Amino acid sequence: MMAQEHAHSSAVERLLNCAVPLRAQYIRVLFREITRISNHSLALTTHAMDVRASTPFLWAFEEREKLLEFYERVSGARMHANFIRPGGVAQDLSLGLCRDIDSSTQQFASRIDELEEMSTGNRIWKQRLVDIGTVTAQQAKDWGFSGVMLRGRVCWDSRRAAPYDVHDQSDPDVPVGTRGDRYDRYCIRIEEMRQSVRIIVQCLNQMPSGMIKADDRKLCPPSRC
Amino acid sequence: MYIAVPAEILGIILPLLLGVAFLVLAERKVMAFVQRRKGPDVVGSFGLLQPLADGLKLILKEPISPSSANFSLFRMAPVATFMLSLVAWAVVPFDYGMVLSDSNIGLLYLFAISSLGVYGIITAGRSSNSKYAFLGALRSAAQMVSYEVSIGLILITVLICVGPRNSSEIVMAQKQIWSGIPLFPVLVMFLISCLAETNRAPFDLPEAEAELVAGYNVEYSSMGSALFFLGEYANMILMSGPCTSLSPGGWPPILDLPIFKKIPGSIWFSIKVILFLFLYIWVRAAFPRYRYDQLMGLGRKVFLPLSLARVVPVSGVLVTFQWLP
Repeated sequence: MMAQEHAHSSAVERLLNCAVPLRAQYIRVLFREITRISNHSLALTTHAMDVRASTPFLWAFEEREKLLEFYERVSGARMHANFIRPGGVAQDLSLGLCRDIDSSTQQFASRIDELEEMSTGNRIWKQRLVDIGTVTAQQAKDWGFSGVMLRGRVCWDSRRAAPYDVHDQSDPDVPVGTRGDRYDRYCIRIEEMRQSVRIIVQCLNQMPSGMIKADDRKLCPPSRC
Repeated sequence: MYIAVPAEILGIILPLLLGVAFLVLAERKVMAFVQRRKGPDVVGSFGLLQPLADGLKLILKEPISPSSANFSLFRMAPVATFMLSLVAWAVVPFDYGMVLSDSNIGLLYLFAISSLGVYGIITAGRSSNSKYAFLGALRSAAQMVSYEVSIGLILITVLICVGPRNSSEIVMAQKQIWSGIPLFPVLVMFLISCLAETNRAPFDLPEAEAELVAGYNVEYSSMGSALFFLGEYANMILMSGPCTSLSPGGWPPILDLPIFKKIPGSIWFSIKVILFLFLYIWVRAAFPRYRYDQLMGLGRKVFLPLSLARVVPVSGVLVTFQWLP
C-alpha cells in the first residue's frame, strides 16, 4: 500500500539527495494518512472479529470502501496503488477529489465514534484486552518497534521525531499508552485515526499548486498526457 | 382422548420445527441488518425459502463419520439433543389451559430436561473419538452445568414470590404486575444465564470456529450437524418460552384493554417470545466472546453468589411481611 511505497521512495530520494516538490509532499502526506486510517480500521476490526465481535468489522469495511475508492480515483488500483514513486507521485489529483475527501472526513469522526461505542466501554472487550499482550518499554526498544507497539509505553512518533515530507507543518497529538497491553494499543489506534482526520483536513487546506514530480529526468519519467 | 393428545403434540411440534427453521433465517437477517448489509435474500423473496434450501442441502449430503467413533452413540447423540429440546415444550403454557401437561412440577420438569441436555453434548464429544470434539464437549458441559445452578436459584426466587402452582397458574399470578418488574435484576440474570446455558454468544466458546474448530460437533456432517444446529435453536426458543412465562407475564396481553383481549393469548405469547429471541440475536451481533476461564469465572464467582443473594433477601422480605402466597 502507499505507506510502503512512501518508505521506499523516501529512502531512494535520500540516497540520491533529490528534492521533492511541495505539492507532491502534501499529496503524499494526504494519502499516507488515508492509508493510516484504512490500515487502522482493518487492524482494529479484524482484531474485533477474532474476538468474535463481528459488527465493527463490517462497519469499518464500509468506511474502508470509501477510502479505497479514493485510492482508485487517484491511481487506478484499489489497494496496491503504485502511486508514490521516487521523486514525487505518479499523477496529479483528479478534479473534485479534494472536495470528496473533505466531505468524507466530515462524517468519518461519527463512524469512529460508532466503532468506539461498540467496543471501548464494553466490559467483555476490556476483559479480553486489558493486561493481555503487554510489551514493556525496554522490550519494545530492544526489538526495534517503531509504531503503535512502541507507543504503548514510549512516547515516540516518527512523524515528530524525524519528520519527513511536510509532517512538520501539521501538528497532530500523539497518543501514548500507559500499560502497553492490547487495550492501550486499541485506544491508541482509535485516537490516531482521529488525528489522521485532522492531518488530512490540514493538508487539504494547505495544499499548494505546482509540480508533482521532481524535475530530474533520470529519476522520474515524464508524465503521460 | 387418544386422538386429542397426539394432535396436541403435533400442534406443538410442527409449528416449533417451522419456528426453528425460520429462526435460523431470522438470525442471519437480523445480524445482517445490524451489520449494515442484507442477509440471505436470493432464494425466496426476502430469503424466505432459505431454510428450505438449507434443509434440503443438509439432508442430501453424504454423512461421514470417523472410523474410530463409537457408532451407535455417535448416531444417537444429536437425536437425543434434539429430542430433549422438543420434549421440554410439554409444560410451556401458550394460553389459559393450553398446556400439553398442566402439572404442578412443570418448572422442575423444565429444569430436569435442560440438565439432561448436557448428556447429549458429552455423548457427542466422547463418541466422536477426536481431541477437539472431546475438549469442546467438556467445556460446553461444564459451562452448561454451572449456569444451570444459577438458573435453578433464579427459578426458586420467582417461585417463592408466586407460590407453588402449575404452569398456567404461575402466569395467572402475574395478573396485577409482571414479575419481571419488581424482580427486574432477576430477569436480567435469568436472561444471561439462559444465554450461557444454550451456548449462545457471548458464551459460545465451546462452539467457536476460530478457537476450537466448532467444538463438540466438529465430526458431524449432514443430518447430524443439522440436528445439533436445530437443537441449539430449539433450545433458544425453549429458554425464551419460560422466560416469557415467568417474567413479562406469558400470554395475557400487555394492558388489560378489551381490544387487546380480542387477539388470542398464544399470539401474545409468541410476540413476547419473538422479542426475547430478537434480544438473543442482538446480543450475538453486538458483543465479543468471553474467554473460557472468564466465562466460568463469571458463572461461578458472579452469577452463583448473585442468585443466592437474591433468594435470601426475597424470602426474608416475604416471610417478614407475611406476603408468602
